[in-house]
Amino acid sequence: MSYPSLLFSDRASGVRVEPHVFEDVKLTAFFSEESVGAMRILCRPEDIPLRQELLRFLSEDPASGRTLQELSGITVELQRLHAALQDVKCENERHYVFVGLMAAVADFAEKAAGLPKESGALLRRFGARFRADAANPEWSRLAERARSLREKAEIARRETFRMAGDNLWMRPDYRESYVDRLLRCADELGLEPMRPRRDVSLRLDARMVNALARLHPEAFLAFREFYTEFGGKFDETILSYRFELNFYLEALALMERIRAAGLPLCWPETSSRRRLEIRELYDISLLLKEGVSIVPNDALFTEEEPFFFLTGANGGGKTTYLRAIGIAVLLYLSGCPVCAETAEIRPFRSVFTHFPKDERFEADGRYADEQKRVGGILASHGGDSLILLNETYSTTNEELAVSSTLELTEKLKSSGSFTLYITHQRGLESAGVPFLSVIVDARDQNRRTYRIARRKEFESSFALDILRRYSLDEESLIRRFPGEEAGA
Amino acid sequence: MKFSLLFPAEEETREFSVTPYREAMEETVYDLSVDKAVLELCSGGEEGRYTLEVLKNPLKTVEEIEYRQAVLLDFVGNPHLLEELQEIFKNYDTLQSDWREMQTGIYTYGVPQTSGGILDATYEALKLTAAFARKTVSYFRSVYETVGKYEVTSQGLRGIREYCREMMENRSLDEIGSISALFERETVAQYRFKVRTETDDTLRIVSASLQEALELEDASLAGKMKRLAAKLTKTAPPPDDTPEVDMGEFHLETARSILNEALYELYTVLGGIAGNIYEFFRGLSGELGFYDTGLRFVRRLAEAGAPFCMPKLLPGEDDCFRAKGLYDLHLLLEGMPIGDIVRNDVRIENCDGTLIRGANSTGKTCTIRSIGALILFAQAGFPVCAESAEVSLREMLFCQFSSAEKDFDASDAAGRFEGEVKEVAAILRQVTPQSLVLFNETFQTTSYAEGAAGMVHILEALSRAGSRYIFVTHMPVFDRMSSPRVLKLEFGRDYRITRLEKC
Repeated sequence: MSYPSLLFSDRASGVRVEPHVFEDVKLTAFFSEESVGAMRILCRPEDIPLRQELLRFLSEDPASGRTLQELSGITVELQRLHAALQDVKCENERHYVFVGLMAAVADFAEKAAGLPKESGALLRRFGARFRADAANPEWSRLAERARSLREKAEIARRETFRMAGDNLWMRPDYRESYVDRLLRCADELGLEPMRPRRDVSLRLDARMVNALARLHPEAFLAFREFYTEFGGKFDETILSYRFELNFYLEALALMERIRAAGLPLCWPETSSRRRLEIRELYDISLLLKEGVSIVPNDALFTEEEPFFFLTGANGGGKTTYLRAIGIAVLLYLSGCPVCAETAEIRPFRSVFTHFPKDERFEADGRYADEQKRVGGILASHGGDSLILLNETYSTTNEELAVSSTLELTEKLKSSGSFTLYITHQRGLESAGVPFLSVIVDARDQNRRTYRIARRKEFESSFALDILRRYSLDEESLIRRFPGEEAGA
Repeated sequence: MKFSLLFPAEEETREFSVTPYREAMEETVYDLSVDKAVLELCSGGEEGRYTLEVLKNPLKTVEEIEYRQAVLLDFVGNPHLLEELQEIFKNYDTLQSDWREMQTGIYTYGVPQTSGGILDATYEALKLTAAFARKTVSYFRSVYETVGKYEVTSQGLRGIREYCREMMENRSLDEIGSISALFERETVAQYRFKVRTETDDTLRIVSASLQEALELEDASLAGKMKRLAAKLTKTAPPPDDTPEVDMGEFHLETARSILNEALYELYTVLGGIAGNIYEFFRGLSGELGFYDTGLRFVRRLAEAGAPFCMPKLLPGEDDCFRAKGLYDLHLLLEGMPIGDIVRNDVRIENCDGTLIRGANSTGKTCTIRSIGALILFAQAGFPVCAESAEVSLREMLFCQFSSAEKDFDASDAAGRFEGEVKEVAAILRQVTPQSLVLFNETFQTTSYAEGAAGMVHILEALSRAGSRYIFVTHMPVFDRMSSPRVLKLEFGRDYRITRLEKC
């Protein structure tokens, strides 16, 4: 690659996380499909601190963050112009589009060269590449010429076609259109502003482009000369920066969102042991719901206790807890900070999730589908992954579910991977693994606390008091309608 | 801008169906049997349904109510004006739906597959839209001339006349009409066009706008006359020396696509503008239907020799209800002679709530229904069934009528009680200061002692919330409520109210 990567110091780890894992833990709500595509390709453990260093720098230097934002915008233009160049129908069109493309490359290079030199290894290498270009006289001449021709190209962007029967003429004629007149009238009448709703995208036929060149011969001659001289100077690898830049920008936006919500952010330490320990961990997917207060929890997995069942009342926060751990580990593996007070995380080989998904099962039925997906995890986790199971085997009878769960537990608990398994099944005590449970406050109308703690037995479900449900008892009414002390 | 005969200075559309209190008002209208009365007056017509929607949205200011009262009085004095306007707006109502229907008809045989077919379809849509725009614009003159024939004094009707006059003289509206008039010819082939295009930096056309549409020579007599008229009234355009590249004969799809985009752009913008202009009067036929109901109401009462009056509205803070000779409209509509209907004087003021008791069939329900209906009618701008009335504006009118009419299963007492609890809970969630809640035998589906205890807490909560209530009951609540701000009434066998005490 002629342009250095912003994601890898050398190459990726070779492991890809399945896309549904990001959907299951709801990270897709914070990262675009392109960025998830970048995050799926796990980096080698030594690159995690390099990415952390870059993100730290960007979060402390908003000006560089803005530069990356601008660079990302230019990559969108580059992709659009490059796609158009691949699809030209005549030479005049090729010359015209190439001018725009190279002018955009010049814009990108100029911005990138302006990044600070003290900016972390990955960004430093990136900036240095473009500063070297800027110092090259031939490149400078190309950039200057491309920009000047781009201005010239503007004149050929507004024409009028005269049509009568099957005859067509092209002319530079910029008079007011009927729509311009109607919009003016609407404005004078105080009507709501209205614009045509349809996005037009029609290609000029090659003969039309050539007619355009005849209307503006001098400009099109200059475009041709430019292409003749610099046609081989475009390097396609610059297009990869689009998803690389977007990953960092979306990670920064997420960090900002977490801070704005008043939640903690920490840079996890890489654990050299088989250990995952997170204190005060928050599920950031709850940021998507307005007015929800997020309750933090701790997570601790060790070589001695690598497997937990998580049980308890519905709506108590089991899935939230599981998701929070998944998000934290995926963010860490991508080089991002996590939403917790402290974190020590092992650089897992990969992350696996198994969530109930009605749509996914095939003709064999849901249980067969679950078995198939479990089989995929067992074949791939490699003894050093994080595995998150959410109500696995909930689609079959309890007897088969329990026996399948016990069998799966047996395979995973000493495999070296860490597993959290949410379940409502009973009779799993013989598996010999610890239980976590959601805490319900029995003294306060069975209020869910959203706290997770070790439990020896299952929590039972609770019914609501029908009278209080309607809040029409005296106490509730006084609370809701306190009135005024005086003058009532 | 939207013109309304229901609301003064209407700046935005009021959608009756989206108020947060819709469900509560449905219940109120049902419990008070106002729906039956209105549909009876209108023989179940569309006017009746619209009137009910208006009644479900009581006005909150004296100014708004007086605006409607004045319009209704104008129509009472000039019933033919209402008929003429209804005739005009009956057609207006179908204008937009006809336009949409005809546009759908363009694609009766599917969406065209060729560029020529697509272009023809787009021109057809533009032609229909231009006709819709021309017709919409023409209504300002019709309305102006119709209202101008009558002597009207209300702000609403004088305003509509003045508004139409201003619009008729508006140059922008005239220009919209002129542009619309360009597209009357049968097919797209009968024009020469100029289309202005803009391209992006990859030479894709991103916008196409029609700059000129010139009709080709029309050989018919009408065409010749039109050209002669144009020559007489217009000066020739200056010579056009713009340089051009002649691209010769051009059968390519692209040329048609460009023209199609330009016509489509014009069609959407013209359609949007015409639709917006149409909005000025949209809904006016429904509003006229409301006044038609009002007129029928007045005629019915007059024919029966029943007293009625335009009530005097007072601010909510005055917190009073005074009606002299109040009677139940239902008894009248059911055919009872007005002389046989007992009329009561009701005066409720300076109190948090009213408790009403009495033996069965002594007029309790008729009275609470009459009070509720009077408030609803008054806050809609209608006359009311009383010799005279002074009422304070209520923010909302809630009802909880526990009656045999509802579809409860009598054997399921627990479910029935819970159903009532749910309704009361819903009222308390929405209640605001200066609202009025009418309870009719609520919570009598459980033991009277428990029901009474529950109701007392609820009534006290309503007082604290600044809301007022009237509670008709057989339960022992009279003794439980000893506040001096509770009015207690009792009905006797002669259907007359006795004021027990204001404790």
